[in-house]
Amino acid sequence: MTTVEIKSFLHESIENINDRAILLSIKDLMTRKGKKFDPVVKQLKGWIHSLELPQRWRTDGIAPPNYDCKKLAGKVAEALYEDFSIIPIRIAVSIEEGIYLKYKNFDNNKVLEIEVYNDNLDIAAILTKNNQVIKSADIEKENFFEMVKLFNE
Amino acid sequence: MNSKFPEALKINKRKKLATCEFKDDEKLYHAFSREDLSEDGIIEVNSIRFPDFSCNWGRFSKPVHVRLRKNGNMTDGCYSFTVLTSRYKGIATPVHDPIDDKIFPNYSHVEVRELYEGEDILFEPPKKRKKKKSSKSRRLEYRKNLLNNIEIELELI
Repeated sequence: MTTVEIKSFLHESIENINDRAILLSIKDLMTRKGKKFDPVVKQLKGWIHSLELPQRWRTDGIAPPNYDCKKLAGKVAEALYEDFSIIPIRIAVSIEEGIYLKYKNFDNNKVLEIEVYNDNLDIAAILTKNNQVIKSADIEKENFFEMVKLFNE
Repeated sequence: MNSKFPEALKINKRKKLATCEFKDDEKLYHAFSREDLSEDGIIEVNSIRFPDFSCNWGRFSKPVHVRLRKNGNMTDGCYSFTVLTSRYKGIATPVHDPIDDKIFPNYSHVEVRELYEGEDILFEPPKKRKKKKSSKSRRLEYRKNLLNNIEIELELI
Protein backbone atom coordinates (compact mmCIF):
# COMPACT_ATOMS: atom_id res chain seq x y z
CA MET A 1 0.00 0.00 0.00
CA THR A 2 1.44 3.45 -0.90
CA THR A 3 1.42 6.43 1.46
CA VAL A 4 -1.28 8.09 -0.63
CA GLU A 5 -3.42 4.96 -0.44
CA ILE A 6 -2.93 4.72 3.33
CA LYS A 7 -3.92 8.38 3.76
CA SER A 8 -6.95 7.93 1.57
CA PHE A 9 -7.94 4.80 3.49
CA LEU A 10 -7.56 6.60 6.83
CA HIS A 11 -9.64 9.55 5.65
CA GLU A 12 -12.40 7.28 4.37
CA SER A 13 -12.33 5.29 7.62
CA ILE A 14 -12.54 8.25 9.95
CA GLU A 15 -15.34 9.83 7.98
CA ASN A 16 -17.41 6.78 8.96
CA ILE A 17 -16.90 7.42 12.67
CA ASN A 18 -20.13 8.76 14.14
CA ASP A 19 -18.75 9.94 17.48
CA ARG A 20 -17.77 13.57 16.83
CA ALA A 21 -15.39 13.80 19.81
CA ILE A 22 -13.42 10.75 18.71
CA LEU A 23 -13.42 11.99 15.14
CA LEU A 24 -11.95 15.36 16.18
CA SER A 25 -9.30 13.71 18.37
CA ILE A 26 -8.17 11.47 15.52
CA LYS A 27 -8.05 14.42 13.09
CA ASP A 28 -6.09 16.45 15.62
CA LEU A 29 -3.59 13.63 16.08
CA MET A 30 -3.20 13.22 12.33
CA THR A 31 -2.63 16.95 11.85
CA ARG A 32 -0.12 17.16 14.69
CA LYS A 33 1.79 14.23 13.38
CA GLY A 34 1.75 15.73 9.90
CA LYS A 35 3.20 19.00 11.16
CA LYS A 36 5.89 17.39 13.26
CA PHE A 37 7.32 15.42 10.41
CA ASP A 38 6.58 17.77 7.56
CA PRO A 39 9.87 17.98 5.63
CA VAL A 40 9.04 21.42 4.24
CA VAL A 41 8.55 22.91 7.70
CA LYS A 42 11.65 21.16 8.95
CA GLN A 43 13.64 22.55 6.04
CA LEU A 44 12.32 26.10 6.53
CA LYS A 45 13.13 26.09 10.24
CA GLY A 46 16.55 24.58 9.62
CA TRP A 47 17.25 27.23 7.01
CA ILE A 48 16.31 30.04 9.40
CA HIS A 49 18.33 28.66 12.29
CA SER A 50 21.40 28.23 10.10
CA LEU A 51 21.52 31.89 9.06
CA GLU A 52 24.50 33.93 10.18
CA LEU A 53 25.22 37.62 10.13
CA PRO A 54 27.68 38.72 7.41
CA GLN A 55 31.06 39.55 8.91
CA ARG A 56 30.98 43.08 7.51
CA TRP A 57 27.70 43.85 9.27
CA ARG A 58 29.12 42.48 12.50
CA THR A 59 32.05 44.90 12.16
CA ASP A 60 29.54 47.73 11.74
CA GLY A 61 27.97 46.81 15.10
CA ILE A 62 24.86 45.06 13.80
CA ALA A 63 23.52 42.38 16.16
CA PRO A 64 22.71 38.94 14.73
CA PRO A 65 19.15 37.61 14.94
CA ASN A 66 18.75 36.03 18.37
CA TYR A 67 17.30 32.61 19.17
CA ASP A 68 13.79 33.89 19.97
CA CYS A 69 13.70 35.90 16.76
CA LYS A 70 14.73 32.86 14.71
CA LYS A 71 12.18 30.73 16.51
CA LEU A 72 9.40 33.21 15.79
CA ALA A 73 10.47 33.57 12.15
CA GLY A 74 10.28 29.77 11.89
CA LYS A 75 6.81 29.85 13.38
CA VAL A 76 5.75 32.51 10.87
CA ALA A 77 7.14 30.50 7.92
CA GLU A 78 5.39 27.40 9.24
CA ALA A 79 2.05 29.19 9.67
CA LEU A 80 2.18 30.70 6.20
CA TYR A 81 2.94 27.30 4.73
CA GLU A 82 0.36 25.42 6.77
CA ASP A 83 -2.42 27.99 6.52
CA PHE A 84 -1.89 29.51 3.08
CA SER A 85 0.37 27.02 1.26
CA ILE A 86 3.06 29.59 0.47
CA ILE A 87 6.78 29.12 0.89
CA PRO A 88 9.47 31.82 0.82
CA ILE A 89 11.71 32.29 -2.20
CA ARG A 90 14.35 33.87 0.00
CA ILE A 91 15.24 33.83 3.67
CA ALA A 92 18.05 36.03 4.96
CA VAL A 93 19.33 38.03 7.88
CA SER A 94 18.12 41.63 8.05
CA ILE A 95 20.49 44.50 8.73
CA GLU A 96 17.71 45.80 10.97
CA GLU A 97 18.60 42.95 13.33
CA GLY A 98 16.19 40.18 12.52
CA ILE A 99 15.10 37.69 9.91
CA TYR A 100 13.82 38.54 6.43
CA LEU A 101 11.36 36.36 4.51
CA LYS A 102 10.40 37.00 0.90
CA TYR A 103 7.42 35.49 -0.91
CA LYS A 104 6.49 35.90 -4.54
CA ASN A 105 3.19 35.16 -6.22
CA PHE A 106 4.22 34.24 -9.75
CA ASP A 107 0.62 34.48 -11.01
CA ASN A 108 0.10 38.15 -10.21
CA ASN A 109 3.70 39.32 -9.66
CA LYS A 110 3.05 40.46 -6.10
CA VAL A 111 5.85 40.30 -3.55
CA LEU A 112 5.32 39.92 0.17
CA GLU A 113 8.29 40.74 2.38
CA ILE A 114 8.29 40.10 6.09
CA GLU A 115 10.78 40.99 8.79
CA VAL A 116 10.86 39.55 12.29
CA TYR A 117 12.98 41.67 14.62
CA ASN A 118 15.04 41.02 17.73
CA ASP A 119 13.52 44.20 19.10
CA ASN A 120 10.41 43.23 21.03
CA LEU A 121 9.95 40.36 18.53
CA ASP A 122 8.01 42.79 16.35
CA ILE A 123 6.90 41.73 12.89
CA ALA A 124 6.43 44.02 9.88
CA ALA A 125 5.25 43.15 6.40
CA ILE A 126 5.10 44.95 3.07
CA LEU A 127 3.24 43.97 -0.08
CA THR A 128 4.36 45.34 -3.45
CA LYS A 129 3.62 44.84 -7.10
CA ASN A 130 6.17 45.96 -9.69
CA ASN A 131 7.90 47.76 -6.81
CA GLN A 132 4.79 49.83 -5.98
CA VAL A 133 3.73 49.58 -2.35
CA ILE A 134 0.23 48.11 -2.00
CA LYS A 135 0.21 47.82 1.78
CA SER A 136 2.57 47.80 4.71
CA ALA A 137 1.55 46.73 8.19
CA ASP A 138 2.77 45.87 11.65
CA ILE A 139 1.64 42.31 12.21
CA GLU A 140 -0.10 41.68 15.49
CA LYS A 141 -0.53 38.22 16.98
CA GLU A 142 1.03 36.68 13.90
CA ASN A 143 -2.16 37.37 11.95
CA PHE A 144 -1.27 37.46 8.27
CA PHE A 145 -4.75 36.87 6.92
CA GLU A 146 -5.28 40.34 5.42
CA MET A 147 -1.81 40.52 3.87
CA VAL A 148 -2.00 37.07 2.32
CA LYS A 149 -5.52 37.75 1.05
CA LEU A 150 -4.17 40.79 -0.83
CA PHE A 151 -1.10 38.80 -1.90
CA ASN A 152 -3.33 36.20 -3.54
CA GLU A 153 -5.88 38.57 -5.13
CA MET B 1 46.72 61.96 5.94
CA ASN B 2 47.90 61.10 2.45
CA SER B 3 48.65 64.20 0.34
CA LYS B 4 46.64 62.60 -2.47
CA PHE B 5 43.54 62.47 -0.27
CA PRO B 6 40.73 64.32 -2.13
CA GLU B 7 40.57 68.01 -1.25
CA ALA B 8 36.79 67.85 -1.56
CA LEU B 9 36.57 65.62 1.50
CA LYS B 10 38.91 67.66 3.71
CA ILE B 11 37.17 69.98 6.12
CA ASN B 12 39.35 73.02 5.29
CA LYS B 13 37.62 75.16 7.91
CA ARG B 14 34.28 74.83 6.15
CA LYS B 15 31.20 74.89 8.35
CA LYS B 16 28.43 72.39 8.76
CA LEU B 17 25.40 73.31 6.65
CA ALA B 18 21.79 73.51 7.77
CA THR B 19 19.16 70.99 6.72
CA CYS B 20 17.43 73.60 4.55
CA GLU B 21 20.53 73.65 2.31
CA PHE B 22 19.70 70.26 0.78
CA LYS B 23 18.06 70.47 -2.65
CA ASP B 24 15.53 67.81 -3.62
CA ASP B 25 17.40 66.65 -6.73
CA GLU B 26 20.82 66.40 -5.12
CA LYS B 27 22.30 62.93 -4.79
CA LEU B 28 23.36 61.12 -1.65
CA TYR B 29 25.96 58.36 -2.08
CA HIS B 30 26.11 55.19 -0.02
CA ALA B 31 28.65 52.37 -0.14
CA PHE B 32 27.74 48.72 -0.50
CA SER B 33 29.76 45.53 -0.29
CA ARG B 34 29.32 42.01 -1.60
CA GLU B 35 27.69 41.04 1.68
CA ASP B 36 24.89 43.52 1.00
CA LEU B 37 23.86 41.60 -2.10
CA SER B 38 21.39 38.75 -2.27
CA GLU B 39 22.31 35.34 -3.68
CA ASP B 40 21.11 36.73 -7.05
CA GLY B 41 23.58 39.60 -6.81
CA ILE B 42 21.05 42.34 -6.21
CA ILE B 43 20.40 44.71 -3.31
CA GLU B 44 17.25 43.85 -1.40
CA VAL B 45 15.44 45.60 1.41
CA ASN B 46 17.04 43.44 4.12
CA SER B 47 20.38 45.19 3.54
CA ILE B 48 18.99 48.74 3.65
CA ARG B 49 19.60 50.25 7.06
CA PHE B 50 17.42 52.88 8.66
CA PRO B 51 17.58 55.20 10.53
CA ASP B 52 21.00 56.88 10.94
CA PHE B 53 21.96 55.93 7.42
CA SER B 54 25.42 57.28 6.52
CA CYS B 55 25.92 58.87 3.10
CA ASN B 56 28.10 61.33 1.24
CA TRP B 57 26.51 64.49 -0.10
CA GLY B 58 26.88 64.60 -3.89
CA ARG B 59 27.45 68.37 -3.82
CA PHE B 60 30.81 67.82 -2.13
CA SER B 61 31.94 64.38 -3.26
CA LYS B 62 32.11 61.79 -6.01
CA PRO B 63 30.75 58.22 -5.82
CA VAL B 64 34.26 56.75 -5.53
CA HIS B 65 34.85 58.72 -2.31
CA VAL B 66 32.57 56.36 -0.37
CA ARG B 67 35.55 53.97 -0.29
CA LEU B 68 37.59 56.48 1.73
CA ARG B 69 36.05 55.92 5.12
CA LYS B 70 36.69 54.00 8.33
CA ASN B 71 35.96 50.30 7.65
CA GLY B 72 35.69 51.17 3.95
CA ASN B 73 37.06 48.93 1.28
CA MET B 74 38.57 49.77 -2.10
CA THR B 75 36.32 47.12 -3.66
CA ASP B 76 33.08 48.70 -2.37
CA GLY B 77 30.37 49.72 -4.78
CA CYS B 78 28.26 52.87 -4.50
CA TYR B 79 24.60 53.62 -5.03
CA SER B 80 22.79 56.91 -4.90
CA PHE B 81 19.35 58.26 -4.13
CA THR B 82 18.04 61.80 -4.10
CA VAL B 83 17.35 64.08 -1.18
CA LEU B 84 13.68 63.92 -2.19
CA THR B 85 13.73 60.12 -1.77
CA SER B 86 15.40 60.47 1.62
CA ARG B 87 12.45 62.63 2.72
CA TYR B 88 9.80 60.07 1.71
CA LYS B 89 6.54 60.79 3.53
CA GLY B 90 8.43 63.03 5.97
CA ILE B 91 9.75 59.94 7.74
CA ALA B 92 13.39 61.10 7.65
CA THR B 93 15.63 63.91 6.53
CA PRO B 94 19.32 64.27 5.63
CA VAL B 95 21.52 66.04 8.17
CA HIS B 96 24.96 67.37 7.27
CA ASP B 97 27.43 65.76 9.66
CA PRO B 98 31.05 66.48 8.60
CA ILE B 99 33.62 64.07 10.04
CA ASP B 100 36.74 65.82 11.28
CA ASP B 101 39.05 62.81 11.34
CA LYS B 102 42.82 62.79 10.87
CA ILE B 103 42.85 59.77 8.56
CA PHE B 104 39.46 59.96 6.89
CA PRO B 105 38.05 63.48 7.09
CA ASN B 106 34.75 63.78 5.27
CA TYR B 107 33.12 67.15 4.79
CA SER B 108 30.41 65.56 2.62
CA HIS B 109 29.22 63.14 5.32
CA VAL B 110 25.47 63.08 5.84
CA GLU B 111 23.26 61.08 8.15
CA VAL B 112 19.70 60.37 7.12
CA ARG B 113 17.90 60.61 10.44
CA GLU B 114 14.41 59.58 11.43
CA LEU B 115 11.78 62.23 12.08
CA TYR B 116 9.02 61.65 14.56
CA GLU B 117 5.37 62.55 14.17
CA GLY B 118 4.89 66.28 13.82
CA GLU B 119 8.52 67.10 13.00
CA ASP B 120 9.18 69.10 9.83
CA ILE B 121 11.59 67.84 7.14
CA LEU B 122 13.73 70.91 7.79
CA PHE B 123 14.05 70.00 11.46
CA GLU B 124 17.45 68.62 12.38
CA PRO B 125 17.16 65.54 14.59
CA PRO B 126 20.16 65.48 16.95
CA LYS B 127 22.84 62.84 16.56
CA LYS B 128 22.16 59.56 18.38
CA ARG B 129 19.01 60.85 20.03
CA LYS B 130 17.11 58.36 22.08
CA LYS B 131 14.97 56.26 19.77
CA LYS B 132 11.24 56.43 20.23
CA LYS B 133 9.19 53.32 19.75
CA SER B 134 8.03 53.73 16.17
CA SER B 135 6.16 51.55 13.72
CA LYS B 136 8.39 48.93 12.14
CA SER B 137 6.22 48.79 9.02
CA ARG B 138 6.65 52.55 8.55
CA ARG B 139 10.39 52.02 8.56
CA LEU B 140 10.13 48.99 6.30
CA GLU B 141 8.09 50.98 3.78
CA TYR B 142 10.66 53.79 3.92
CA ARG B 143 13.50 51.34 3.24
CA LYS B 144 11.56 49.70 0.41
CA ASN B 145 10.91 53.07 -1.24
CA LEU B 146 14.57 53.96 -0.92
CA LEU B 147 15.53 50.66 -2.52
CA ASN B 148 13.12 51.29 -5.40
CA ASN B 149 14.78 54.61 -6.10
CA ILE B 150 18.47 53.81 -5.92
CA GLU B 151 20.83 54.09 -8.83
CA ILE B 152 24.08 52.14 -9.02
CA GLU B 153 26.88 54.66 -9.45
CA LEU B 154 29.84 52.36 -8.99
CA GLU B 155 29.94 48.59 -9.32
CA LEU B 156 31.76 46.36 -6.86
CA ILE B 157 35.29 45.43 -7.86
